[in-house]
Amino acid sequence: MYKSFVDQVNMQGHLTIHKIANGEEELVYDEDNVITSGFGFNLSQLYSRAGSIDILDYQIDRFQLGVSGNVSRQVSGNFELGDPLSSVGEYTTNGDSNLHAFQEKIYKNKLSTSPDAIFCKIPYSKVTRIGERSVRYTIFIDEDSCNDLERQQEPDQGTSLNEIALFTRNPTGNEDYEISPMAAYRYFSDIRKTADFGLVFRWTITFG
Amino acid sequence: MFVDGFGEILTDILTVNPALSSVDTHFLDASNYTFQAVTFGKDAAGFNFHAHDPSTIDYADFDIHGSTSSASSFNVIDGVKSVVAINYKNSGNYVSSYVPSSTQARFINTYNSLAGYPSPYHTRLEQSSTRSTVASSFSSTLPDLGHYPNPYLDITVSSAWNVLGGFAPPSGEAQNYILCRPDGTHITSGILSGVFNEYKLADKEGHVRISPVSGLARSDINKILFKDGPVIFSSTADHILPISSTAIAVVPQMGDAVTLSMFGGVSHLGVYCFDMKAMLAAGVQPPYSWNAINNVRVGNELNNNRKYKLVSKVTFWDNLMILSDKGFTSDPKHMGGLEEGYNMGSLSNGGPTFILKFNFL
Repeated sequence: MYKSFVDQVNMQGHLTIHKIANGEEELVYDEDNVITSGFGFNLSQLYSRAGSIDILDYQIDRFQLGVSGNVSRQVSGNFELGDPLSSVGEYTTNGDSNLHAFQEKIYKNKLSTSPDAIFCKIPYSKVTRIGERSVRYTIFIDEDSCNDLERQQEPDQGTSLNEIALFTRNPTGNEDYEISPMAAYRYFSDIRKTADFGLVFRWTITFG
Repeated sequence: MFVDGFGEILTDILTVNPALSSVDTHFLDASNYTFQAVTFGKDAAGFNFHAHDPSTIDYADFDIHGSTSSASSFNVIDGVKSVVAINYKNSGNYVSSYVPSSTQARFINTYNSLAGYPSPYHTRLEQSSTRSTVASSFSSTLPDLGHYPNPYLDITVSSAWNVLGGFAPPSGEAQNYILCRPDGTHITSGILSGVFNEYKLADKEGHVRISPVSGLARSDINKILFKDGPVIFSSTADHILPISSTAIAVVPQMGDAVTLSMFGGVSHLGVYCFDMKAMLAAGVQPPYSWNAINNVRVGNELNNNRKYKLVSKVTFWDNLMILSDKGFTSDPKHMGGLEEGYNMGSLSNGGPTFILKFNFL
């Protein structure tokens, strides 16, 4: 019987989202997530010895947030968000934001070119080994980040965050620019982000 | 089947501290985390049967000398250590081949010859002891690794390599195999030439290192497999592409194929990555170059500082080393049996090619 790689290693992801306001932490989301085929691409580059010679290129070190998530994207073959934040300014609403947003390229599939995309860095200090086979990524969207987003199709109504994805750095070892495949994706219920609160995403990936 | 050890390696990869580059950039070498070695295994009980069973000496030595040897000189015949096995089949196309199933049938009341069922929780190929108790008169502790050891390189047990199995010594050692009938009379014999020891590809614990060569296509692998050990390759025709999968080709050949067959064959294959934590704890720092760290002879032993972690295993009901006599023709490629099929003494012939494919999607 054929089993996918994710099933073979019993790879699981779990995401919680907390709102932080006035020093209080409120759980607003708590679900499993989808490990996407980009993680398999990442490993196949490593284990076929076709990719980068630097192990850091295979690490999950960046994420994207988006505003057009939906259930249909929660499949392993998904390689991009529905509508990711598209500028550094959308992530870092003002100069006090703690996010480090930057432009690189996103890996779609072998038939596509790799378009530019905006990512945010996950600092190594927010990557925590929590067991022999588990790692947790903590992403803090502070009060000064991702606020009051709008899209043209919804003028003046405001736009909510409702999707997030993790990406590995540059498994092909491309020297001119980094090309990042999507490793995990989750659609979540709408959160209209304002300066009144922060968000903490705790994303745990477990093998076996 | 990937085992939990692979999850530990993946977690290591995702949590390697980038600051280690300031200590030594080699800490961040991707090769520290790739597949590095393979092992061969079989049913645990089989380590006390087949050519492991020193009672066969009684037959072989009797055939040659008219008397039996003591247990302290297992299978030393005319001063030459020999791998000795009895062919209980010995008929039809199986006269000069070793047939493990005939030994299993002969001892069916005492010999459970099934390999252990695989589990993702496993850290070794066989969970039960693979120590050959029939060789317990040796003073040293005999290996219990869960797979075939390579005692030829282990200075504490090298004198028993021919009953502990499973790899042959290099050609220069001029050591033998002898296949007997159940009555002890000689069927076939010859000099063993083991590729893994000839080219220093295996450590004393039986880990056969994977070639560091990369970027191989399937058409290239035969040039590498012979002297450089198992290889990682891609093949468009076989849908083995670096966007989704990879594969390892491994060939037990010549003297190694003969000894593995006579010791009861192969029904497990194991794949290993480095156990970085264990190596660092032992003070073994990267880069983990094969020649620098694992291939230095001290006396008759490799100075083996590499430590491995099982990450994948595959188990078979069937024995992968089954062979038969094909009859004699003028073309050696069509000859079978231990002598011609695996070409035990000549470094010119191959054995069965095992291809392990890993799909990451």
